[in-house]
Amino acid sequence: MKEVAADLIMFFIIALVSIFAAVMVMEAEDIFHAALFLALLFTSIAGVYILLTAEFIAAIQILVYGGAVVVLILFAIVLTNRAGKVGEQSLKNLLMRTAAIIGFVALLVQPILKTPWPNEMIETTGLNTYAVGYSLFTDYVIPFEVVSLALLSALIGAVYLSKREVGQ
Amino acid sequence: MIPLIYYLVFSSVLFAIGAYGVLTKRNAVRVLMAIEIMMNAAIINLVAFSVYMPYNNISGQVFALFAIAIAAAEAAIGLAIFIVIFRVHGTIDISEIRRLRG
Repeated sequence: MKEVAADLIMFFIIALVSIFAAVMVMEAEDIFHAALFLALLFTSIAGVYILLTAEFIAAIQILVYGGAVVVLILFAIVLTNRAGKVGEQSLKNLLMRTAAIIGFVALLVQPILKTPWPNEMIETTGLNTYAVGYSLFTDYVIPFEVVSLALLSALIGAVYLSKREVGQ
Repeated sequence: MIPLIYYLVFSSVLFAIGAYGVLTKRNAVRVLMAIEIMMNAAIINLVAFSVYMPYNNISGQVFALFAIAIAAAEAAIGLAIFIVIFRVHGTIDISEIRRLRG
């Protein structure tokens, strides 16, 4: 019984931190701070994956999102103008914007609450990484190769896009 | 045990915040951050369903891996495009870029 309570408390802490970080990503004055809050958000989402007993996804989340994507975004912020003119939104519409977000959430949550969901987590044997790897290299080996091709073409495309202007 | 609904509501909130950012922000990099938040909300749903559904319970996590890879590629391409736009136009304010409007 105590484990259940600890689970719930951890989930609520992580959820509150995540939502706070997401709001700060949107509303921070300096976009550099927004990128750092984005790192906090991605890391706390990795905590959600650990609560879901998906440890491998959590590790990948920290490596790819918390590491690579955040560093990419920081480089993009430094390379474009950081002054940014982000203070374009006045605070007088804050209430209306919050109401719009809450209304949209209500719209999304409505069908979720009406649907009967299974409420028991599948008992896992603690071999999450093994199971993911086995499935990835047997059932999903073709999509895996396609994703590797997509990553390669994205890499070449990014290099081509950034290099072309230098040549001109 | 945490009910599945909690995860779904949590990802709905994240998705709504991301959608709000995509619709209202004018700095292109911040719009890309909002898109990343929305993709993360979708991936949370994938993993939560894969853990709670009583059959074939690892496919959702494999697709979450694919989604993460595609999101990383999308971020790289998007930021390269923003840097090129910044070199050409001198700004990445998406309300001031009207080149394609003709």
